[in-house]
Amino acid sequence: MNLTIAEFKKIVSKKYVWVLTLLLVLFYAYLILNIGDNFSVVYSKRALQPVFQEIMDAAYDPQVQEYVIKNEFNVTFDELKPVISPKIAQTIEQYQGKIYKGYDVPKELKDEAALRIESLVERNVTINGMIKELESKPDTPLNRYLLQQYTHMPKMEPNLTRWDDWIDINHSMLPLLIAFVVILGVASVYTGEYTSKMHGILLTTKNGRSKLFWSKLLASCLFAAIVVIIFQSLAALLYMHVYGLPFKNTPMNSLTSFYKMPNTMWALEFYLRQLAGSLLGAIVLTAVTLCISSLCRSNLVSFFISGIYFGLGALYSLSLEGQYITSKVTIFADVSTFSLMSLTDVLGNAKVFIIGSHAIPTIRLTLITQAVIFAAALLLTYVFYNRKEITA
Amino acid sequence: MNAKGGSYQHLMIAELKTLLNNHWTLIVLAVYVLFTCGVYFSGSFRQTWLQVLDGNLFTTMTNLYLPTFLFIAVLLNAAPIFASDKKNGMEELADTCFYGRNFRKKAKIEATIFYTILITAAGFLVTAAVSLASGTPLDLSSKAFQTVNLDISMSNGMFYLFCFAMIILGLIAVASAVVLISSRSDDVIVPLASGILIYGVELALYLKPLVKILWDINLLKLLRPYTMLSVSLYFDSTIKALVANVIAFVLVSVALFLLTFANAPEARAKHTFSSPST
Repeated sequence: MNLTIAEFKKIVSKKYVWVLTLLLVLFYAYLILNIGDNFSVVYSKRALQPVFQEIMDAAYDPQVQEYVIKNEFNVTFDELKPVISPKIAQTIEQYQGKIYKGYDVPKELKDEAALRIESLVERNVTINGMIKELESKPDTPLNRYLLQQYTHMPKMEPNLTRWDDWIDINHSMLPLLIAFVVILGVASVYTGEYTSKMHGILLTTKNGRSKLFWSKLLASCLFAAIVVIIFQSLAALLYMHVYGLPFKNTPMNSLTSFYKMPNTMWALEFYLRQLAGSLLGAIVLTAVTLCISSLCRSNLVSFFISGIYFGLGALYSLSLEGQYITSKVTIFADVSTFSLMSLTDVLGNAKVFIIGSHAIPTIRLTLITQAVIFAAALLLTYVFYNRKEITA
Repeated sequence: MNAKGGSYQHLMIAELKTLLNNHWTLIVLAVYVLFTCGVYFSGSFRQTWLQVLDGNLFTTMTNLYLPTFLFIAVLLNAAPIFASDKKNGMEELADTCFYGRNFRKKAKIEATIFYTILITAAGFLVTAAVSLASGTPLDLSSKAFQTVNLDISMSNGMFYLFCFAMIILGLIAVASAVVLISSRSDDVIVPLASGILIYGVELALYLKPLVKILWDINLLKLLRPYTMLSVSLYFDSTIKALVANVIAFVLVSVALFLLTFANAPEARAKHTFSSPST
């Protein structure tokens, strides 16, 4: 245990890790806090949250649905006003005469309320149309999967809960920041030993190198876990400050980016899985970085190759947004460490990989691949570190 | 020893040769050549992986892909330029030489600048050579970005020269920051990570234009020169934004190189007085 603590102290005692992490934290906070005074953040959804149920009731009212469909999903608030709850209009009237950054607040809120109602109607019509279309299509594994998912979806709700913003935390930037700090801290765990010639001296000690391997692994994983906790907590605090906590749980299909995806999950469950994915991904990345570090003799090479490993997966994965099928070409992006740390694309879009007559959820493949990478990285690190020849 | 031995030029050329012969330069260029061949010779590769700009492959390669490869090459070569010397004790050895540390420092800075220019030229030449070998004309006389309404109008030939100059400026700006950090650190990971951080911050400011002036004066615009021909958020014309961007990065680069150089006498003095042999 003492050895693990000593190794952990070695990682966190590097001044540059702290300085660069602090710079990243400040920059991230600046980016998030800067959008805090946007009209859409201050008013659009927040002001309509008290009438969430009324907006939902309106969207499921047959009379309103008929009117919206007849007008091809293009209606104004004043047109809907006679047939929806008066509480919505009363809530908007509280902002009468208010101007914010050039925006006429009541006018914008009326547009927003009308948009929420008509888009909810449109989404339900679209999904029902997709179900009917799938029922008439041939019985393929993909069609069976889609039909199963779409028919078991929870009832769609107006997108007013802020869960879309909270889920966006782990979309791209946060996994990249976490990966950067993890690689920065862990890349020199073994290379530092090689360059300082400590590697050879260790053979003269009582326990040799084997015990040190596990201590280094534990210390590095602990460091990665702490980085994840720090960054996720920071992001949650910033989002709480800017957007506020989501006032209720909502189905994933209620969020704009996911409403066409065959996802039956709820937002809170998805967010918690994202947190778990972030932690697991950071630990896999730690194992890979340790493996590369045990192989290289220079910090530069170790840092660069680890960065390339994560960066390529991230770049490829980010270029594939908005699909729910994993193909033989895109599977490399979907099973990447970045995908595990983000989960927005793989799990949020409920991606599937078709093999023969089976539709396998891609997330399972991602987890299996990452587990294999983790085990292989550990094994290779053990081999590289313990069998490394001593050279002058 | 020949007559040139020990002269400043000799030292600078030796440093430049070290940078050019570095295996990273060769690896990055080799990967770029493979990628370029894939783009020019394979239609399916192009369709799967490439986003073609202005219907022109040369413009696409030099604006979207080549700068990234060059950035990696410059970063990997500039990061250890001083930091590795500190690590292996070469920096202290320079104090015992006839010209001292400053002489070598100046040569290293100049070599980095020349290296940036040469590798950028090599990147452009390689792209042009592969383009011609594949039978894709460079189309020098046609107007660049004809379909877009631009304040600045130029032929493809002029546009390629413009891209060449802007990419060099962007890379020199990156190199100046990395070299400065390298001179203050004894671990190569610090300048390398700082270079990546600078790129990441500039990318984030470019993708999320929260501060308008930082969107206009941005490293990413220099490394993707076609973006400098589009609208400006802060200035009232594209030309003003372009000039401001160029001036800002020239000043920043000069200031950072001067800071790197100015660091030397103080460091030497400190070291001399603290040395046990003194």
